[in-house]
Amino acid sequence: MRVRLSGNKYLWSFLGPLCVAFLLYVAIGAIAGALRIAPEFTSNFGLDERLQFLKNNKPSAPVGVILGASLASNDVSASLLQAQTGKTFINLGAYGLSVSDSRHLYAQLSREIPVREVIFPLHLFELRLYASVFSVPDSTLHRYLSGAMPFLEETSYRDINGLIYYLMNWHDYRSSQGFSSVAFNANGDVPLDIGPKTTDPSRWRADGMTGEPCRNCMRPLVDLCRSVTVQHHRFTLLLAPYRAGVVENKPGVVEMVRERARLLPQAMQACGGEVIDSQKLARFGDSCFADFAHLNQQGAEKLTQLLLDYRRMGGALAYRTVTCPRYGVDHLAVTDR
Amino acid sequence: MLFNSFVFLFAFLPLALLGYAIAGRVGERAAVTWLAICSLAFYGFWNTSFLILLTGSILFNYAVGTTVGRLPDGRRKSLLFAFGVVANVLLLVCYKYLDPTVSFLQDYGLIIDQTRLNIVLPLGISFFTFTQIGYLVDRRDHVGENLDFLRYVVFVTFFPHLIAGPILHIRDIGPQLLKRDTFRVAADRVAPGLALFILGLSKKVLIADPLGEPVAAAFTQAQTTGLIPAWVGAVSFALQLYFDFSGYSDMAMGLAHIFGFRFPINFASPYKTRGIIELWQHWHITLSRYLGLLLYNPLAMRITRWRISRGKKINRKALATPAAFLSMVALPTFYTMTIAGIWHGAGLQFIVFGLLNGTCLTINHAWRVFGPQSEHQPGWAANAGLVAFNLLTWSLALVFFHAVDFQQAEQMLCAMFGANGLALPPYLGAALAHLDAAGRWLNVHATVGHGATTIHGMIRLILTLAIVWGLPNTQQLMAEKSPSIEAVNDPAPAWMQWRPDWKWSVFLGALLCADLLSFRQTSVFLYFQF
Repeated sequence: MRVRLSGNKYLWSFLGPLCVAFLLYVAIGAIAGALRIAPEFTSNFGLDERLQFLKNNKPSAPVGVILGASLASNDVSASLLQAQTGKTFINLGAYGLSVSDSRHLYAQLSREIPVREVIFPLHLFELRLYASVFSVPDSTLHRYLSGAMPFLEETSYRDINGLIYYLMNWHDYRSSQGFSSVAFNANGDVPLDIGPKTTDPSRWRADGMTGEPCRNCMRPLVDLCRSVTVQHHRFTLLLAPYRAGVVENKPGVVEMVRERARLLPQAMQACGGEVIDSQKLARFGDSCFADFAHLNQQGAEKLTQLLLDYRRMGGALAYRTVTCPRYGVDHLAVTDR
Repeated sequence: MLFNSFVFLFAFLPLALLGYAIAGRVGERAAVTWLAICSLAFYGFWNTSFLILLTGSILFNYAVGTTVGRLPDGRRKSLLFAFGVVANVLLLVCYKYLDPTVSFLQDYGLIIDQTRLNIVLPLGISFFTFTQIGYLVDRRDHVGENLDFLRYVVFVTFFPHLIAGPILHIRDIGPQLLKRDTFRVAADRVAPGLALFILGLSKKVLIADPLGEPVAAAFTQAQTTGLIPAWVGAVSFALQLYFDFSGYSDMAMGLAHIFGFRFPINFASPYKTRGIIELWQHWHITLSRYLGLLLYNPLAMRITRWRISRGKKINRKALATPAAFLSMVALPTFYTMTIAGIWHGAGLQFIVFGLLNGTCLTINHAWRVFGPQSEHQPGWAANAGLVAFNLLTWSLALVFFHAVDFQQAEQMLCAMFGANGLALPPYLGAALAHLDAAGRWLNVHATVGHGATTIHGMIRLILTLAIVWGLPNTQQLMAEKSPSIEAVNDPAPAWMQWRPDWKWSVFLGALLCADLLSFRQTSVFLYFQF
């Protein structure tokens, strides 16, 4: 059965969906922008948020950058570094960012902002080789970061499922009580308000953590370090603390860390980077941790203070025990040792 | 260039349509030329070097087809026709099967030289080769119109169907290519064409693509996945393939109609069918029709003639004897489905996919011939059971279709039959595990980490099945102003039918917006690899 209808009606029924789609598209883009939800340029949600933060907070003076994965976001306080040194620092750590992607990010941001030094917090058991999360050309990122990307194009990098998921997990992302928090302070730090009492027990115990052989695992680190030092910028590899006993109880992981610790000095020497091993300078009590590897807010401040003291004293620091009284002891019957 | 990309929607399509509207006013020839240029540009966007192959194939087939059409019936004509078909098949074999075959022989030490050929499969090669073999057959049999070269180029390369069908016959599209009215851009074609395009696009990006998550979870961990996630993965794949491919077909049909053409229907609610014969009659209809015409029917005819020459009967009563059934039904079915399986890919798993379908079709035919001949129609519960059973059987066969190799398919089937336990989500698993004896017998264990994927997958599966079984298909929704060649016999209720009003505009606009905001997650169409 074929029905004949007037041409005008068809014209409107052709233009109608296009107009409705356009209006909704603009509205959703505007609302997401107003809520400061980052467009999806990469497959790493944390990195997208970081790129948005960088776009909105571009320093013009030479800046020290905290780069890396979640350890960078959570464990080092750029605001404390800035307050105590009087120099500008920003934190650009992004959850799950691999070392090679950190290098990619560094290459990108060194074109956007005047970098002075890079501090790269790391755990040696984290050096894995991941596939890159960058899926758009650098020129696109540049247009975005420089604010030259039109609104409609920016909206084309939004995803309806991602937006719904974001809204459903709003609290986790926008409060400092979730491990996936992107509640940045003015310097980009993500201080975690999680202590032994409020943590996730499986994360606290590092369930499922296994060792793996180092197949060229130092290579991305050396490449990153070299790309920084070749521009005569300072590169500091900060080996962050982890909960005492967690790694030691996992034989495969212990061997992995030992092997990497053996390879590290040679690797850093090759690229002219500096290594600060916090585990050799201090013992961080359980109260400073949000889980087995990430520090909470007070822990991050203490680690940053340790870094500042180390630099001030030229490395001649007495071994110290660090506790974080604000977070007290935990319900898992683990006390500060 | 994907249909589900910004470059296609906001650059290629408007430019192509605008140029077509202008060319249409200039004249028929200008419009055909413009369509040919646009279609070749569309293909060249993927890889310009393959344009040479496509153009060569078109020139060759047009020359052979035209000559075959002119020659009188006889040996010369048959030889030239056979040469044309063999050349096409060889082209397909070279690009599609040579690399996997050599790799297979290298892996098993039958070829010492370990250098891989690394032949890149040109996009849509199966589709444009099949279309042209069909053209040669039609020319031989003097079926359909005799097209000039430019129209022939459009017949083969018209961008909506070039990459993944539907497979067109000259008698479908030939008369339209010769009609002046076709080359006119009109709102009463663009509006329903756009509506069908948006519905198809939504099927792809809003339904098919998200189903990929439980599918990937089940297949990539086939060695350890439990019974429930394995079935969720397998059935999800059946649904993903349907929405992906039928979405593509809808988009192709919608686009063709925007440019004034009508395509044949390619899908007609295959998952509402009650048997595998019916399913194949509603699934990728143009391929089924093609396989029937080129493979099944010629063999069945030969067998029939052979039986007649031997003085054997060929009527319905004779068919009910095992020997006649085997020769007249089972043999052509297995032959056709095995080749259909091989067409889908070079791995052993595709042959098994074809054989499995052949087996199911033969059993279904046997049931019709040898089973109880009752006039009684089954009740709704029996119907629902048959529909569900049909989908599960089909999902089982599709495991071979989706698996990367035979081993993965085997692992997946083992998982689907409980070799890795039930694998319930953590809280359910823990509760059942308390029933110790039963738990041990069932090999119940709770999944760690994949529970959420399974639960999300199950919810998504149920919602998708509700759409499949509870709603009319897109052709039924568009029935009143169907952009298809055939009229739709069982339209959706009047209140659900597409019509040019504000309600449909808002609905389609919202769908289009959601589609555009899903392009970040979209992938290529599953059938592109064939």
